[in-house]
Amino acid sequence: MPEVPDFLRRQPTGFYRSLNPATKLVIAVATAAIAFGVGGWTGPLSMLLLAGLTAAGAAITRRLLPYLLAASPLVASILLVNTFLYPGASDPLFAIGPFTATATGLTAAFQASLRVTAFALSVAVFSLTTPTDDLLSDLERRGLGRRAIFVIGAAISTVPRLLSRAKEIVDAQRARGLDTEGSLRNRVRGLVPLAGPLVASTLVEVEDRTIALEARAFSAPGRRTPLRTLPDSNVQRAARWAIALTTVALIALSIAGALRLP
Amino acid sequence: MLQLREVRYRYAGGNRDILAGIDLDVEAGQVLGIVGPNDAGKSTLCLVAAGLAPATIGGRLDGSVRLGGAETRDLRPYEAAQRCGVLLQRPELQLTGTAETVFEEIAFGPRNLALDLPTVVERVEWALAALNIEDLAPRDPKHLSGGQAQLVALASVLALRPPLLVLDEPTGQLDPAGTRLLADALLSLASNRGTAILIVEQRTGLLARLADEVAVLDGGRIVARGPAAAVLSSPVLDEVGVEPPPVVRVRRAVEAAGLGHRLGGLDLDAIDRSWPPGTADATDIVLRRERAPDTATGEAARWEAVDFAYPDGTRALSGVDLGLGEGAVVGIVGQNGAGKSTLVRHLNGLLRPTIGQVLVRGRSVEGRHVAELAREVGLAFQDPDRQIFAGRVASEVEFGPRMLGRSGQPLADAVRMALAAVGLEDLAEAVPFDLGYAKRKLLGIASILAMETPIVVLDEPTTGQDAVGLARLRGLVAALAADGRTVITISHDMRFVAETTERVVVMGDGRVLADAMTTDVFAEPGWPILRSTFLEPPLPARVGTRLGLGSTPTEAALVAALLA
Ligand SMILES: Nc1ncnc2c1ncn2[C@@H]1O[C@H](COP(=O)(O)OP(=O)(O)OP(=O)(O)O)[C@@H](O)[C@H]1O
Ligand SMILES: [Mg+2]
Repeated sequence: MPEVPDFLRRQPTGFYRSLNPATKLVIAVATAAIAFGVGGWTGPLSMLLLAGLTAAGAAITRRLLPYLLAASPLVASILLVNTFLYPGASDPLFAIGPFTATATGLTAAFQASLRVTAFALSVAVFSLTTPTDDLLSDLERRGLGRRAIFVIGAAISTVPRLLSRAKEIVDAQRARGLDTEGSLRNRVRGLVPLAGPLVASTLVEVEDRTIALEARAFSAPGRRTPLRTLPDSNVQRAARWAIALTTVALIALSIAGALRLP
Repeated sequence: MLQLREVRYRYAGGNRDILAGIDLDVEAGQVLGIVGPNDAGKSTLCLVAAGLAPATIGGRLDGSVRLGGAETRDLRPYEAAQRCGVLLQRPELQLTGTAETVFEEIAFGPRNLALDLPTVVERVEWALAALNIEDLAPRDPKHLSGGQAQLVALASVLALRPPLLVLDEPTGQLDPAGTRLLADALLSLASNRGTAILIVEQRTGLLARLADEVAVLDGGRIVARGPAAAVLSSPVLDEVGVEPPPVVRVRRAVEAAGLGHRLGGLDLDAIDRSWPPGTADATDIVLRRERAPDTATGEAARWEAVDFAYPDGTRALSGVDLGLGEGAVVGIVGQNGAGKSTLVRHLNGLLRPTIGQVLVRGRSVEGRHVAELAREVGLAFQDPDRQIFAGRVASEVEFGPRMLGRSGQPLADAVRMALAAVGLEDLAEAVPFDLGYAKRKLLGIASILAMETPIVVLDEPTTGQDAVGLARLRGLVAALAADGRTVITISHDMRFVAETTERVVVMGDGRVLADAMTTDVFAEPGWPILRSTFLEPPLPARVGTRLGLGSTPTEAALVAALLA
């Protein structure tokens, strides 16, 4: 009887990687939720630390950069807006032209940036350690329908696909004389002609991908054949529930004001 | 199996019928070849026949398309997919984007059909073996060479084992050996499993071997249909602008010179078909080098002991030493994955050698920006869709020269010249992604020509081109050469190489196996180098050898040798 080749039975190495995809998903969602849902510094800082440690444990720290870069425009705007335009803040620090930075604003700005960064990291850790196909198989085993699977799969693979398309466009433009190497100025200038084509080709790409998937019977009914069984255990199942419930409880307490953390 | 009646189709927002009344049948076990010039509607016909219109691609469909007896209009996309496997023209699009290995990529279709695991594995292994790509199974499908990606896309479709296969130029980027393997696989599917096959091809030589019948499509209509041999040798091909098969061309060329009797005892079809399979592993072959005479002028490009490995560890070049003189017209040939595209991407710094160094016009590329090298090296990518990014044909072509500092009238002139050189002058305002594949390919080339670089590199320029496009490309290479520019062409089309280049570099397994004058490479007794890399000399060369005429790589050379 034909058997799945060995390289497909790859055993993930390390504790975090070898968790069931659903467990990793729950952890990622919980990390992001706590970072946003628990007020003050403790929530975002502890989650940032958690995501950072997990990344280090899974040896993916060097691949986090694109995700952080992707979050950087958002972080920058949060910093600026909060620091200078925090509504109702009356503790000025310094002024630049008509804009006054406030201490309240600055605190809020840093907290919000930490939250966004923690969020970006938890997404990064999850997607860098979980093969998309494993996640989809696992969700399917848990009874999720094909349509939902398709949407989730497409969403997850969008980031890497956009990154590789962006690299293609940059390569094509450099090969025709656009200088995007060296100085920061060059690099930033290189981003301008990138934006339009990237959006346009993403639209084309979504359409083409639909054709390709439909042509390979992706929407057929029934459960897709799993290529490998993914490890799961009662301990993990219990842990998932525990994490989920704790997260909800923490956020609820924090919103209700019952949680007094720095 | 497949039945089209009075089929008309237009794309959403289109103002004319791309298919204008098509009647066509393909029975179980039958292979129907479709030929036609660019823009005849071949790719659209494939999408429609596969039941993708209008459900998946939109647009308006009139008439009747029946797959296995059912109207495609009434079929869900997955039901159509079970009745018909379709290979799209651009293989990169066919890949799922979520599979981590080639094995999983090919397993995707069978898994969707919920076949049991042993069957899925059996299908995948069979498809890998049929195309001889078992080696690729653990590789990441996103990191393959153009031809390898095409083979994987094909294997993915074959693994579905549908009763009908619709293939849109499946051999566009395949090496000759891959093309033969594909032909064998298709023939055995048709005769052993009764698979019906509709195959669009510009390589009419393949259809001569494969197809029972051939239909000629022009302007959205079928203008001729009949037994393959009859249609492929009829004048209608020339009328619509499709290259006849090599056998037909060689016979015609010889007869036109009044020398038909000299071919009397020869069975050209047998010679065409009898090329022995590759003999040795490229790694076994004794390296043989013949330096082509160095030109008196300076050197355009040099690779010195270059090794290159991709970030995932794939070794693509090992110990490449190669020098190309200023004004040389060079062809680079070699099997899929040999490292051809990798080699030329070193010229403009898109890739940097892991070991060794690369010099362009006497200066090392180290530390020089890609943008700076772009002044000297224009590289037309293998996959035009990786190169094209603008929303308008003219802006695409304009980008390069503008970046190089041209503006005003000189810029307009450069754009006009480049578009005219590839025959796209009337499409300056068109949207690139609305053009067919062959035209996008030409657009990619035009955008390089507009930069007027001293070195021009064309990676697989002939993919998908009809007779007009091919003639234009031949003229283009000749014109660039006459202008004193260095032209490097990567191609699997041995005829194109034989007719346009003066020197050939043969690559295999990341190394340069031979570097010699074109006439010599195609005239070696027994062609050991070509065979070791699964390449084939063009038919005129083989006929010339059979007749003891020496080196006759082109039709013209064969005729001249017969006259002498
Ligand atoms: N981005 C990449 N990452 C990893 N490996 C790659 C990448 N691109 C190509 N390769 C591998 O490098 C080798 C050489 O590839 P290359 O694209 O240079 O081949 P080629 O001779 O141009 O083939 P083809 O005729 O199919 O276009 C192949 O084994 C290929 O799979
Ligand atoms: Mg290539």
